Amino acid sequence: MITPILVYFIIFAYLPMVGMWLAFTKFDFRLGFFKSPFVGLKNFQYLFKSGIFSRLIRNTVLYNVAFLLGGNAAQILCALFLSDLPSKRFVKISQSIIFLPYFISWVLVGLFSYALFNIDNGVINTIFRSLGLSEYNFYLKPQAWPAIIIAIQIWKGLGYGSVVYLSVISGIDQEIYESARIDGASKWQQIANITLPMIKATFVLLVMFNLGSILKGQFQLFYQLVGNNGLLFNVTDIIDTYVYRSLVVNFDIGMGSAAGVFQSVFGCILVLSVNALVKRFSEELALF
Amino acid sequence: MKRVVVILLILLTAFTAFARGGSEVSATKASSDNPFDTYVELIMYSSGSSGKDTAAVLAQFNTLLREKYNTTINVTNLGWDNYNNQYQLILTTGEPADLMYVNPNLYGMYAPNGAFKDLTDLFAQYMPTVSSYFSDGELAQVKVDGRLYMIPSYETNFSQNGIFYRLDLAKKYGLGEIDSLKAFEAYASTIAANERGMRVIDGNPEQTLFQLFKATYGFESIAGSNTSIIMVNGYDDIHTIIAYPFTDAYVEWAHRMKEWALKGYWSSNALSSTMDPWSSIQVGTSAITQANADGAKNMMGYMASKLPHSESAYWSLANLTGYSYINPVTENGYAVPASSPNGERALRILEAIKTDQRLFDLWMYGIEGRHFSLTEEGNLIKPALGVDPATVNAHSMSGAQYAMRVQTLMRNDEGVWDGYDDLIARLQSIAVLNKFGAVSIDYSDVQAELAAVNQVVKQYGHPINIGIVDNVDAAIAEYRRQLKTAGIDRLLGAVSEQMEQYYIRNAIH
Amino acid sequence: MKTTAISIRPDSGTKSFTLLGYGVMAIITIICFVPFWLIVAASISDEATILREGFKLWPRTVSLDAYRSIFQGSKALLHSYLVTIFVTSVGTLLALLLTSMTGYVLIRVDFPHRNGIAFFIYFTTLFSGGVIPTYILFVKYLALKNTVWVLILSCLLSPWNIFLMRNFMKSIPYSLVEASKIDGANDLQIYTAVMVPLSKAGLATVGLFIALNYWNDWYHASLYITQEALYPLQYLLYRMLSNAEYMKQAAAAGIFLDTVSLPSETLKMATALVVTGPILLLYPFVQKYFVKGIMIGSVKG
Repeated sequence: MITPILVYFIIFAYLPMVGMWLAFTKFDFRLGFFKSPFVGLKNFQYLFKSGIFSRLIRNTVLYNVAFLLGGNAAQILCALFLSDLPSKRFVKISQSIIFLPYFISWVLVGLFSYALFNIDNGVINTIFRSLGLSEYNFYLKPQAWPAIIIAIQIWKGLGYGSVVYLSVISGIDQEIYESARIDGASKWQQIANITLPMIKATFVLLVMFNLGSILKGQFQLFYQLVGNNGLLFNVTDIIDTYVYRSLVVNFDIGMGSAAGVFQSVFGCILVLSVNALVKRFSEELALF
Repeated sequence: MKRVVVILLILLTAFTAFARGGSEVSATKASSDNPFDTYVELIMYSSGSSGKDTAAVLAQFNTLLREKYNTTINVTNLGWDNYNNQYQLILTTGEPADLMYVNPNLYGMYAPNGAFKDLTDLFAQYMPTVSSYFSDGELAQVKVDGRLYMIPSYETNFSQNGIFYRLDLAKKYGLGEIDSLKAFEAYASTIAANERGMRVIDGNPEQTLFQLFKATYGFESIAGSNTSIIMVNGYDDIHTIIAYPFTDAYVEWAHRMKEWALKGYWSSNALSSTMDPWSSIQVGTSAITQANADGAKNMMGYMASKLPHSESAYWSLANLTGYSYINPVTENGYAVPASSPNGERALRILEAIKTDQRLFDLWMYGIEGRHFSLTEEGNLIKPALGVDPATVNAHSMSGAQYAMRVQTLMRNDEGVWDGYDDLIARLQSIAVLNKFGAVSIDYSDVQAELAAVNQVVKQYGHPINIGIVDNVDAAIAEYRRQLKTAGIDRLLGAVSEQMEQYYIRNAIH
Repeated sequence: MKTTAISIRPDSGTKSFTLLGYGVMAIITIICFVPFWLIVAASISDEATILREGFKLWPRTVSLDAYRSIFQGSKALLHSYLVTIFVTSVGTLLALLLTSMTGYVLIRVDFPHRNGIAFFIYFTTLFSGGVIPTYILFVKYLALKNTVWVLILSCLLSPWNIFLMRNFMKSIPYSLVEASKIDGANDLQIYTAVMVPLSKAGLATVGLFIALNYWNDWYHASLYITQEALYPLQYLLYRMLSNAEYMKQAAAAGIFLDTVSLPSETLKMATALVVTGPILLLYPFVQKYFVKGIMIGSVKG
């Protein structure tokens, strides 16, 4: 039963992994894939050249952690409400609408956020001015951006993510709730004692999947919101945007692959250790 | 875990066994008496998009080509979004392809790495007429280590930029035409102070200001990319290669930019603005935009239809430098991928099209009587006279057309802008040899430095360039420090060295 | 719905929960709706007005130019719809079948290698060889360039969906599997008679994700499809957009030959809607599986 799946992954995922070899070569079209000269770790150098690499790692990791925690908290909250509000009509409409941002491309999100935050005729500054408050030049000051970026990411993933939790909640046996109610448990107690424990496995699954890609980032999110505004880079630059800026003028196959390999190795080590840790506490929750 | 490693190793060896080794460069077949004996379909790749009518035009073109030369061309336009990606895939995997459009960027990326066939001897052999158009000096511009990897287009056009601006607004405030940086400043300040709902530049001004900067101080860009911060100190001072952020001129300019920004020439949020300056001038939120001579001509047409009550004028930056450049021949061309089995035929067919007005007209302008008519002098009227413009779809193949251009057969449009001919005549009269337009620097030894420097320029340079940093001097100091860390000195050294070799090779003084 | 049959007077906790729930969800819904409305409004606006005045909740001038330029090549558009619908439906069915089977195998405690295989599958999310080797594989060895199969195959299985499926199936009481086994059902029968009916919510969720993934995928088309007849919807529109964008700039740089003027801002908006529309229609069908308590009847039966 599982054979076709294994074959699929061998052919379409494992075979192409030889491509990581490119990260260690200087590619030459005449020589092709395996005969291009081996250059060791030279392709990785540019990552460290600027001396800001540790900051990039910090930003990338912190953003991903914030996306993970904030995103899941919001999604769980929505799922809890949506699964329990009495008006089915309201639930249906609301559920459909919170899925809409998922379909809005990052390009459009970028356009909207400029319309919202710019100093000249941005919505927020217009409101500030009409209230007699002093204006706030978002695009010159980095402080507000982490919050903005995290909020937008949560907003965009809300519908998609809450569907996962909704379907898990809908799978919980109703009898458990009924007996809890008969025992006099309040709504909040039911949530805390029944629902949340039941969705724990899903949350752990999400965490594990995100850890593997903790150094990878939503390139489009950052690129469309911040673009080439260097003033904001200190707090908005992640590895992917840095690599993009470095290579956009002069793309090099080897250097492009090198960044990916670095991110993967880091993620792999992290996941393996966290999985081992999780396994200690609960065999059930571990991924493998 | 151990098992996974074993599986991986097995897969790796398996893949190695059947992965492609070196590229097989097929030798050109011994030619029989008639080189067009067998039918060949040439596969061509190009950047950009095709027009709605292009398929119909190509069908007609191919019928004609087949009759005459027993050949057809299958053109694939790879779009503007991902032709870079596709080129990489096609060339790395050695897919069948016979002709590929190249611009300096693509050429610089692939020619030194062996992706294209060496055409040094084949050019004259199979394209005797076209190759005779080029002087040795011109061909030298396209050579990489003395070898030729592309068939360049042959044309004269002026790439130099200029400021395209709203003359009606100047007149409104009693100002004359822009003829100096000072006049530009006066114009811009007036707009910024008086025109509500308008900026001098609405959108990101970086590129426009960079052109102004270069022209003001006479710095010359090298090696294709405009964003590269390494430049030649001056047209006559060719041995001084500089990184401009380290010059005094830059400090002066940066202060001026801060002043301009404070006066409101552009928004302090301009770096993040998604508005492009070409659109914004057409809808009346910008007063200027940058354009080269041909771009200005197009712009005149657009402005007439979009803002009919406005009046526009054009100030070429050649006025600041005192000389103009004719585009180097590296601008556009065709390369033959190393894996092409039909290299010889491809060159013969290029020669045919570039010397046959009928084939050339079809390829470039479409079907006569539909897409164009000719005036008595042989100028183009588009679309054809007596055809309802609404029924004519565009014929265009972008890159595939730029590369086909050959001056001997090219036609002019019936004029939209009276000033155009004067402008060209003036640019022609002050044209000088483009000493730095054809350099292609091999960055392979300084890849890491180049990448790091490019990113520093974006992060630290651009905010200074558009004057939105608080303290200009501190920002420049930081910028310089970051550039040093990124390895600007090594990069500068590498470029200087290669420039010297380039000057010697091409006898440039 | 069984829950409604049992009437228990709402306590104050339930009341506050409900009240808070409506409040929070109403706000979130509005925040999610406004941008979408702006897109609708902008898509029917006039290009110049958008550029000059920015986004408005209510368009002052109405222009259908953007839609006109999308539907101009309506044959190509229709074609691309067919391609996308084919890829999405065939791909989703196939993927759902394989994904759910894998999920099932991975929860069977009597299957000895399940952890090894789980790792084998998960590992592919960590490392990838990049575009080039995959391209060589599809184009040179499988000769799938310019076929719909390449679009189906490249998104067929995702580790995330497999693990999500496994997670859903884990919540089904394992005693049911054991009971059926004692009744003499073989593995395939357990899968079709027990697992599939009991994991409807899971199948709906994973199916939705797979379908969305197929529907939205323009990237693989940009790599493997160069024939216009095989463009899926998303890629066709993506190309239309990037070309409009480019022509605008190229015209000013003097390298474009034809003077065409295309709406590009409003086009962005209109394409967003054309692309989103059909998949939104699908959503209500999936939604009904997310109702609390849907499982209860089946477990009892």
